[in-house]
Amino acid sequence: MLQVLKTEWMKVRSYRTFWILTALCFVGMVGLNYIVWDFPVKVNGNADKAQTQALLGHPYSYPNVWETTSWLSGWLLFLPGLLVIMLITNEYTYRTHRQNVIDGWPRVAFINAKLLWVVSLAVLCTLASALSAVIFGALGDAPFSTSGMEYVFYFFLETLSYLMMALLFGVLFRRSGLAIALYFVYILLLKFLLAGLIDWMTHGRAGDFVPLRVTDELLPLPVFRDLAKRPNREPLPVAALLSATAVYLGIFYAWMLYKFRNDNL
Amino acid sequence: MTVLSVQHLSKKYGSITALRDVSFEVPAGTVFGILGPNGSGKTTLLGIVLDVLKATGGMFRLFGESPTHVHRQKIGALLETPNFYHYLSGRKNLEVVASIKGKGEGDIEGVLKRVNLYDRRDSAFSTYSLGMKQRLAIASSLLGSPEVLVLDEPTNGLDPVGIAEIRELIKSLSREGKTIIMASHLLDEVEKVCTHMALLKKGELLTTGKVTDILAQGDIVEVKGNARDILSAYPGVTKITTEDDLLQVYFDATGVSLKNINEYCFSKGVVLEHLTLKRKSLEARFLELTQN
Repeated sequence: MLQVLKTEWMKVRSYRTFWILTALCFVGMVGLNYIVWDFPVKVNGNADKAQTQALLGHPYSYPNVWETTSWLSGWLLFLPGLLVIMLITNEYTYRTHRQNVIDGWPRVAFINAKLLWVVSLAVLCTLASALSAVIFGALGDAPFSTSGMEYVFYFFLETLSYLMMALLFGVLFRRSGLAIALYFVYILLLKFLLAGLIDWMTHGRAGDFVPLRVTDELLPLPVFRDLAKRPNREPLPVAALLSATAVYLGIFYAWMLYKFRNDNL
Repeated sequence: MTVLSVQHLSKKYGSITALRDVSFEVPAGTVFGILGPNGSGKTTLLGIVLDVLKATGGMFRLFGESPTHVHRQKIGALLETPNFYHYLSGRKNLEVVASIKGKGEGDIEGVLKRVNLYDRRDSAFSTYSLGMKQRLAIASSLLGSPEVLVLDEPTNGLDPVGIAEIRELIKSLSREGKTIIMASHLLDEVEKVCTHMALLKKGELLTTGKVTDILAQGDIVEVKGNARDILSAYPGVTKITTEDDLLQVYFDATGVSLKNINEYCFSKGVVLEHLTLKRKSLEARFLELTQN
C-alpha cells in the first residue's frame, strides 16, 4: 500500500493543476467560512451584532460552529470532485491506466490507488473545515467545546461520498469533459430532481436516500431551522442515514472495481 | 524452458473475431516475431498476455505458471503506443515505472543512455518527438533488466538510423540471453532479428516455428533460357513463374543441385544463360502463406 501511495505521489508531485486545485479546496473552505463569518459584521457593523444574533443565532460560536463550517464547506465539494475526476481521466487520456497494468500493477491496485486519493482528499477537506471551526470558534463568544464534533465526521462521510461518486464517474465515462459535465449535472440538478420525483412517486421520503442526497441530510441547514422546516418532515434517524451512506460507498467501490477488473483497458 | 505458452486463445469484439484458437510456444532465449498484416490480431494477442485485454476463450501461461501481476513485473513491455504522463519529464516517467515494477531507480540513467535519450531526460514528455517517445518506451521496457521483453512494433516512428539502432539493441539483448517477443508487420525487421516466429492472418495462426524452417519450405532456382517446358517435368518442381525474363522455378524441398539442373537442361538440348539458387525471402513466404 505504501508503494502504491509513493507511486501515486510521483505522478502528481510535478502536476501544477493538482497543486492549484488542492490549494483551492483548502483555501476555499477556510475562505468561504471567513466570508460568511465576516458577512454580518460587514453588513451591520459591530453595533448591530445583537440584531444579527437574534436572526441567525450563534452559528460561529461553540458548539454550533462544528455544524456550521461542515455544512458550509459542503458547498465546495465540487472542487475536490473536479480534482478526483481529473486524476482518473488523465490516466485514460494518457493511456497510462493500461501502462500501469502492463508494468505490473494488478487491476485492483490501480483502483485502490485512486481510492487512496479519495480518502486523502476527504481527510484534507475535513481538516480544512475543522480548522475553520477552530479558528472562527475561537473568535466567537463561547468557550471551546467538543459537543457537535460529530458533524465533522458527517462532513468527512459527505466528502467521501462526493469524491467516490466523482471517481466512479471518471471510471465509467473515461473522458474528462463528459465525466465533469455529468458530475456537475448530478450534484447540482439531477440529485434534487431525482429526490423530488421519488418523493412524489412514493408519497414519502425515499427521495432523501438518493445517492449524495443522503449525506446532505446528515448536515441540514444549520440556521433558520424553523423557516426551512417542511411540514410533517422530522429529521431522519442518523443511523439510517449512516447505514445508507455505507451501502452507497460499498456500491460505488464494487461498481468501479467490477468495471475496471473486467473491461478491456 | 517455455517463457510463454498460448493455448487455444480466442478474442471477439462483438461479432468481430480478432483471434481464433491461437496456440504456440515461445522458447526461452529466442527472438520471437509475431508477424502478420495490419488487423491480424498481433496487438490483441499481446494485449491479452499483458492483461489489458480479456480473452474470450483459451488460456496462456507465463514462465510455466498461471499469469499474475508478479510475472508482468518481470517483463519489460511496449504495447501499441508509448504511454506516459505528458507533464512529467522522461526521467520522472521512468521513476514511476520503476516504482510500479518494484525496482530501484539505479538503472534509469543507464537505460536512457542506451536509447540515446540521456540529454533530454529532464524535458517534459509532451515536448518529445514521436521517435523520442518510442525510445523512452523502449528504455522503460529495459528497466530492471527483465529476462523477457515484449515489444509491439518497436521501430514505429523511428528514422532509418533509429531503426538500425533498435535492431542492434534487440540483437545485443538477445546475445545477453534475453527472450524478446516482438510483434511487427515489417517483414524485413522480423527476418533480420528474429529466430522464431508465428504468422497470423485475420486472427488465425498460419504457421509457427524457427524462421529458418519456415523460410526453408522449398528452394527457388532462377533460370534464363528456353527451359520452361522441360523444367516443368523436372522432379520436385511445383511451379514456374516469369520475372523480368527470368524463370523462377519453385521446388517442394531444399537442397536442390544446380549442377543436376544444368546437366538435365543440357541433356534436353537447352543451354542455360543464367542459373542461380535464390533463398526464399520472408516476403515471398509471407505472401505465399497469407494469399493461400
